[in-house]
Amino acid sequence: MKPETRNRLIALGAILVAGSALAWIAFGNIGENLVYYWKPSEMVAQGQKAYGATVRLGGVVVPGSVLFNTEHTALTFQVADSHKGDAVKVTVKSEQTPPQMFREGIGVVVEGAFSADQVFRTNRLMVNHSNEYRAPTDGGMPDEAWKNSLTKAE
Amino acid sequence: MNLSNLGYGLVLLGLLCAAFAAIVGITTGMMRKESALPLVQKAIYGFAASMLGANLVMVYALLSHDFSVKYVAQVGSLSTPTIFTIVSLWSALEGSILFWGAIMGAYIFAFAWTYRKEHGRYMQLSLGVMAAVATFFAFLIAGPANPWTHIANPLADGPGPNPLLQNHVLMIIHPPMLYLGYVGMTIPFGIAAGALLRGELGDAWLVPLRKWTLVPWIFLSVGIILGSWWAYAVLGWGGYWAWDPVENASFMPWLTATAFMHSTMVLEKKKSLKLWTIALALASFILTIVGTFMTRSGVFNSVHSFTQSDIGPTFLVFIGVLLVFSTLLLAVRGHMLVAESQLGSIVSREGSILLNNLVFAAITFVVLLGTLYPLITEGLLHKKITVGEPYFNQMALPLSLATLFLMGVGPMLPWGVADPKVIQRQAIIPGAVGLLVAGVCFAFGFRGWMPLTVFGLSGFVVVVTLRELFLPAQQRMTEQKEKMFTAIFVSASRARRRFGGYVVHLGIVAIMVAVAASSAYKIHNTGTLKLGESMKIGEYSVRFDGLDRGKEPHREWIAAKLTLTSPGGEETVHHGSSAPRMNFYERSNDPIGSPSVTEMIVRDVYVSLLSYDVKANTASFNMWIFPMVGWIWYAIPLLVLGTLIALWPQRKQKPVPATAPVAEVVPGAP
Repeated sequence: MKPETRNRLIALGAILVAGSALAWIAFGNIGENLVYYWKPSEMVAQGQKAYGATVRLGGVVVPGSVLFNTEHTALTFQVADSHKGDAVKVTVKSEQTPPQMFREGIGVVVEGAFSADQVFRTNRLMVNHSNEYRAPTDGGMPDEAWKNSLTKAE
Repeated sequence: MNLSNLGYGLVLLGLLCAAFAAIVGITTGMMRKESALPLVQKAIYGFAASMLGANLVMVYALLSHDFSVKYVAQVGSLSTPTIFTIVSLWSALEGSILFWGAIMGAYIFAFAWTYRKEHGRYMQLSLGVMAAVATFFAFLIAGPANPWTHIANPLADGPGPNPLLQNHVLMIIHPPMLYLGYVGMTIPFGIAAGALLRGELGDAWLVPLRKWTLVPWIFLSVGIILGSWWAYAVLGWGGYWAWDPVENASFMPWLTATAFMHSTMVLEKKKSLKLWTIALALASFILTIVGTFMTRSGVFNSVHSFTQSDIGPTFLVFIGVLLVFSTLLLAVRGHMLVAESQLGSIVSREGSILLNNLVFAAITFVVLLGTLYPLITEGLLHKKITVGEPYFNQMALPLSLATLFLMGVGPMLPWGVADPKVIQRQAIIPGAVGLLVAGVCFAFGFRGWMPLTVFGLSGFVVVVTLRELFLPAQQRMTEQKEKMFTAIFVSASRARRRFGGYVVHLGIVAIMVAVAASSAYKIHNTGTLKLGESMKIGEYSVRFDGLDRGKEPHREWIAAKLTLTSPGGEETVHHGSSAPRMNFYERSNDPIGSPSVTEMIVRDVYVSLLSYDVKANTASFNMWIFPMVGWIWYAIPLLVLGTLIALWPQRKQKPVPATAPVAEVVPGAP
């Protein structure tokens, strides 16, 4: 074998080894850092498998379930699949101040983890955004009344 | 004639010109009939002119609020300030693709015009390939993303552009920069594909290939940095980079283009890495198209996907065609791209560049995998997941450290065979400075192996780079008795690419230091304040001075007046436009926040308004201190300066020495 060919083979082999090592590490790492998009019912259906996994839990804030202590910034509320009475509910606890848009009945996505005590702890609360323009349906913008209540109430 | 018809007519004319240039350029080029080139050039000028015209018509329609044009009805509003009315040209899908067409026209025109007299024989094919890409975009504007549809009974007013885009002045320059970066990659793709099709792979086409990659490279760099600045200054979540698919989409072509800028040096000096370098040029372009697909088709539910449309399938087909075309080209012409010489030891300039390329390829792979993984699992397993930021951070960190290390080692090593003793002698001072920097940082209380490694390596790289930058000048000062500035100027202009490249390196070091410091040492605090109450953030203190409100034609806002007290007791009042606020736009249901960012050289104090209660006169805040984060954006001038130095045209001096290989065509021209 000519030295040139041998060098090329060595280089090729080295690159192959490095490449497969990288792929192996990357795939392994990805598996540990997956974030699951689940509804409360889907998460509860996972049983113990759901405990500890990073989850983006999407649902609606159950009316009447919000407790917020401004002194200690402790927020507790329930998230349900839907507004139906029999929908699966999950208790969520956060130590963050909720964003302005947060209120009962609104769609939210919370990122965090579910644990065996059946509490979902989150440090990231996102109100379901809808920046797509929606045409005024019944004479006004949707939520116009709500916005007025915020900006005009004295 | 109404504006819709005029604009659509111009787009159709552009489509015709581009298709004509593509067909004539490629067929006559393959038949080697060079006489057809003027025809191709004229068709390209026609394409550029009609695209520019169509964009001017759209801007006119926007400014005159002609709501009978569909796009104007979609994004225009009588209450939007004029500057944002012009900007709304690229605020939604259809307009941005139209704007894309104008940039494409400008680029191809500039390329065809620059080389109208002196050019290689592949010029016709290159122009043909570029025109084929232009045809695709003109087709998109004329069909799936047509902004011109005429509305018979227009409304009196429209909703205005997306509020997120109206909220900050950066949105005026960030998208055009990114587009200039994306679209510009068409040119190197065209040059490479043309030369491959022609089958003449001498050296003559490498100079234009390199230069025309550097142009979109700098726009892409600036576009990415401005985008992260915008996310930081507008979105208010307290960060500048989230490994969002849209951010990744712009980062990947930047990675491959950067790798290309390096491997092309090995190709020129050592006639090696040919196939690899060409593959990088092709890949950079394909990744920009993949990126556009990700951004514009709405396959990801990311914060940027406000422009969902049915252009996705068209793009997928185009990406498929590009992949097949590029692979075939490389397969058919691969035998012409065999290295003419062997790469020597790994401890050499070319060895370090080879390693740098492997690292860049690895980062690209990591980012691509993380970005596409959710699509694959959703497509195959119907599971909706996303890949968390820790994956990207954990994978990118060691690879970035490797690039930083190579940025210092590479410039120190000579081409070919290195003498270990010389290297050791050269490494002493930079290595000592690196250790000193890390030690001093440690002594001042900075902890954590990651930031300290970055600081130490940065010190090492800066010393090596400054030495490479100014050693030639110093030699001139002693040998030729020149004044300092003359010596620097002369030595820089003698080796523009080298000098410019090292200036860019300094900018990249600044960015890496800023990223390391701001992510490792950031301080966060959150809480609700009553009127007159204060809270601590690090050594700073923030006092809430009450709510304020205001009304502008296009929005209403509520602001929380603040007073910031620095560790030294100095008070800064944020009562006016610098107070954190929430903006309410007619079009949006959600308020759009504007954080208050107090920028300082060494740190930013960042306060974003989370919520407020008018009745109780309270407000809740998210606050951060980001050390050195501003250096990311302050690095832009260094990157631009370095690129300009590298691109500055060499004055025609001496004729080419007789020992230089005889090029098949006019030297220095494609």
